[in-house]
Amino acid sequence: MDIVVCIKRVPDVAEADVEIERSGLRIDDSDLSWGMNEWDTFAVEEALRLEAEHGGTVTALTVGGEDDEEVLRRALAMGADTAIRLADDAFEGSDPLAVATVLAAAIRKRPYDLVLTGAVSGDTGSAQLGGMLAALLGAGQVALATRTAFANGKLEVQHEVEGGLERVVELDLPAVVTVQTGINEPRYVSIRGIRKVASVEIPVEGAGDLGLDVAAVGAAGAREALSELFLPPTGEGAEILEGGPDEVAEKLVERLRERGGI
Amino acid sequence: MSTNTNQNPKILCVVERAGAGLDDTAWELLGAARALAGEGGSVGAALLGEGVGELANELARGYDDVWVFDDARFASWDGEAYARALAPLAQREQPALILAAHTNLGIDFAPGFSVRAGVPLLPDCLSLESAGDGSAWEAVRTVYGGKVHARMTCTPSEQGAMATLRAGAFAAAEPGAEVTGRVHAEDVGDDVGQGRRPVRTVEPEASEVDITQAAVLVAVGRGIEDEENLEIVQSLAEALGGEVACSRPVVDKGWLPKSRQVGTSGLTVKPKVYLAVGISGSFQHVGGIKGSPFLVAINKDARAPIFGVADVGVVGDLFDVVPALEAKIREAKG
Amino acid sequence: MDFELSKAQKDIQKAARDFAKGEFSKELAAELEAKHEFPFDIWRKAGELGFIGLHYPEAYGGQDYGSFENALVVEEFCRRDSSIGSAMMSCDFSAEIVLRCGTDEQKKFYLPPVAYAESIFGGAFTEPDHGSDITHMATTAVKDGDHWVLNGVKTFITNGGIAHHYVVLCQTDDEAGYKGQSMIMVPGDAEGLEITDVGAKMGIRLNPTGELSFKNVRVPASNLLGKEGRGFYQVLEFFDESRIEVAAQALGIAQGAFDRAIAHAKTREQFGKKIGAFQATQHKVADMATKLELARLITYKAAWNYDQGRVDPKLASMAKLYAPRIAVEIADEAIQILGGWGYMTEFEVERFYRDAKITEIYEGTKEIQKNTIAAAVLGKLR
Repeated sequence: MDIVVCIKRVPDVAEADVEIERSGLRIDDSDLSWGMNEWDTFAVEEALRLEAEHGGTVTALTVGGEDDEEVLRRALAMGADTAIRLADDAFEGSDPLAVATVLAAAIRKRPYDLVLTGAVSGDTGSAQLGGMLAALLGAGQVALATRTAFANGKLEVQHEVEGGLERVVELDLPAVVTVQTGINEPRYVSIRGIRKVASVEIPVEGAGDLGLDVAAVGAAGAREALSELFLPPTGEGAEILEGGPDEVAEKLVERLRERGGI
Repeated sequence: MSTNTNQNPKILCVVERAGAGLDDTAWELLGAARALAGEGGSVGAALLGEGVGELANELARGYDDVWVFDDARFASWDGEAYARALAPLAQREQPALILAAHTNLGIDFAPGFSVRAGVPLLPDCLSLESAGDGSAWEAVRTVYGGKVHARMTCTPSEQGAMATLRAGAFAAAEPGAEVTGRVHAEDVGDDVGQGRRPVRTVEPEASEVDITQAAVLVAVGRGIEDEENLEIVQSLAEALGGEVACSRPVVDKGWLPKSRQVGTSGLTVKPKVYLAVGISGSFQHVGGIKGSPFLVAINKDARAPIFGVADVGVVGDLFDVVPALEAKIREAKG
Repeated sequence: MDFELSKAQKDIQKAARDFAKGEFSKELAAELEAKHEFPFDIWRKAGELGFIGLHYPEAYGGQDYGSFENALVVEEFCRRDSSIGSAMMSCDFSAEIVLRCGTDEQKKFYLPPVAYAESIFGGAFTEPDHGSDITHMATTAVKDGDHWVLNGVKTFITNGGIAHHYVVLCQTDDEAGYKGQSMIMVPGDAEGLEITDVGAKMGIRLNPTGELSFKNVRVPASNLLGKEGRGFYQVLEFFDESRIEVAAQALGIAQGAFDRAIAHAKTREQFGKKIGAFQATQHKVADMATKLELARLITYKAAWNYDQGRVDPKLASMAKLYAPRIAVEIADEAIQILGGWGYMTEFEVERFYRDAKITEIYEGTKEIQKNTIAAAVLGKLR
């Protein structure tokens, strides 16, 4: 089975204080550490797991600049066979559909049975890429997978649906599946893996290589634009209790008593 | 499309079912759509399922038009098949705006559908309004795990635009007493439902505790850092006479079973009191908390989104606050 | 001049960070510290992933990287947890002597198991009657046909009791002083070798520290490591390398204590203000950050220099003098910033402080480092 994994480099904001740059269009990422989008690490692991069981290849793709190459090297160090960075000045300012268009063009160029990607990204968090890719490729899709299994040329996928339920569906291939966290346990990157890929030159493909119309991607083709980033007001709605642990505990007990919690 | 297309627009809402009935978001979409459509606009619903005539009538008590796709292939939600079935409807009706809910099902459906319909998609909106003298839509959504809000502008294509709305973010419209809208039965093409077949629905594993019935829940998230630390939350829950619940990361790590997970991918709970301990408060988690409980948040990050929905918050280290709280509760109870 | 890490170095740093984040925890460290137990599970996983001996050549189980890359791993591990990190750093202690002085056969025999976390090493240099002064050894090794016979006592031996092999510095020619010393490899289960724990200690409690008593311990003549009569020099050459590793350990501990102090200063309030908003805290933080930056520069430079094939005992000693000193200072200030919490075990910084202190003592005390630096600067004075 030939699998393509679409991954993305994002800043880790889980434990960071996020500040907005003066432009209002970017967060101040100077003190943030960057790495592979958490959901994508699960997608890569799932691809490697399927490859180990059923053979084939794993190709990692990302759209981005030189700094973004780091996530491709990580995918290679984890065990992916090939990695390609999709970059072109014409891609600047792409909206999610344009990013999907670039990826779809790269995927179409090679044989593939399955496309995996993280269900969500830790930065924009819009959960759109998988579904858009599938529609552009004319392939089937399932979002929010929590288990995959391949047998008799079909992919069985369990995914999250309404009301805390999960549903198992059978997919014809080729297909696009977006992966939830917890589907597997992503492996650590080994020093052996890093050394193996240290000397690998990761190829870059641009709009010309992909046969893309530059008017369809980048800022030119974007219908969606960010006009402003802002911090939500802190504690809006919540009464913030002040004081040391014992003090706030005391106040909490009062509130809980008032509300019938005790 | 010319400018000023948002004046009295025609809006199409793709509604969800939940169990045998309609999902709450069906009425939230209507509320949002009515506000945007104004007096002169119209608001329609698309309903897919098998044997859903009753539900169509229910929708027609609020929506102006209800397009019904009644077919065995739609018995369970299939984002892929739904997108294929609805693309021709969108083409024919030419709505200026298509709305769906940003739920698990919406995520499975909307991105692919937006491509098939040839419209740009504004996902996961907390607010949505007309902008640029009616030539564009403006939405606020959360980014960076809810720590930052983003104001997005979307320019419709010739075919219009689409947005998915966060569940609970828009006030629901009450359906009227009478059926006032028109119900239209739609044909379903042969190419729908190819390539993806439902096999079975998986119920959450049965467990000894049912957090959906608990009056007091102490929910724990990523902030607990380690499985062994769960102890302090368990003893707090005991002191309160409640149950321990959790957010997704705790289940992903295998520290607690899925039967304790609250959220859109877990269980929906309706307690009287909810303590969120070390939980950042993603919408997926908060989406599982219903019935407006008294919500207490304890988190060291003052900007954690959970403080936006909590009644009372403590910005501090849970490893200090939780044991102190437990001690005070035991003291208070004598 | 270029202060940027290469792509591979950044990848290594990140891989070490991710591994430590996923596997180390303060609960585990506290539990192991209470039991005085080596983190065997983490050690095995680290070995599988290639974090141990990454600076050995591939032919001997390593990854062909240098001291610099090894220092990056040590720093990240100690940053996440001073105790687990220190245990990981010292699990192959003195195996570098095999790497630099051993025969091809010895390297193939000893090193791959170290890199794959099947074998722990210990360096037995110190004796009860003289600590960092190793110019004369009371422990003797005498040739008896095809064997060496060892007698004597070694003390303060890191990993004493769990090591699979010890590098033992012996007097093989009693007349020749430090020129009569040789290194002999002794397996941990050798007959006549008795190991007792030296007792409770301030920090690094995940590594046992033992006293090794040799009573007619016989090992094959081929267990001689390096040249007969060169043992003293081999130890000194090893220190040029190992002191850089200790500097990296200290740097990591300092960074870890700093991280925790910063997190506290940003969240904890005192008199209605964040602790970090007080100028007293701000000035502390500024000093700590500056010291950290300097320690990193000198440690990285010493490691880089070593990898260029330039042996510079002065630079290694400067790194070994400075990074441990600021590690103790920063851990101390971190406790101060945390106040009462800092004194509590649960908040980790007191453990970082206790673990930091050893870096000023082992591999040559700070006084010994100053001797080395002064000798290099002043030359021989009459």
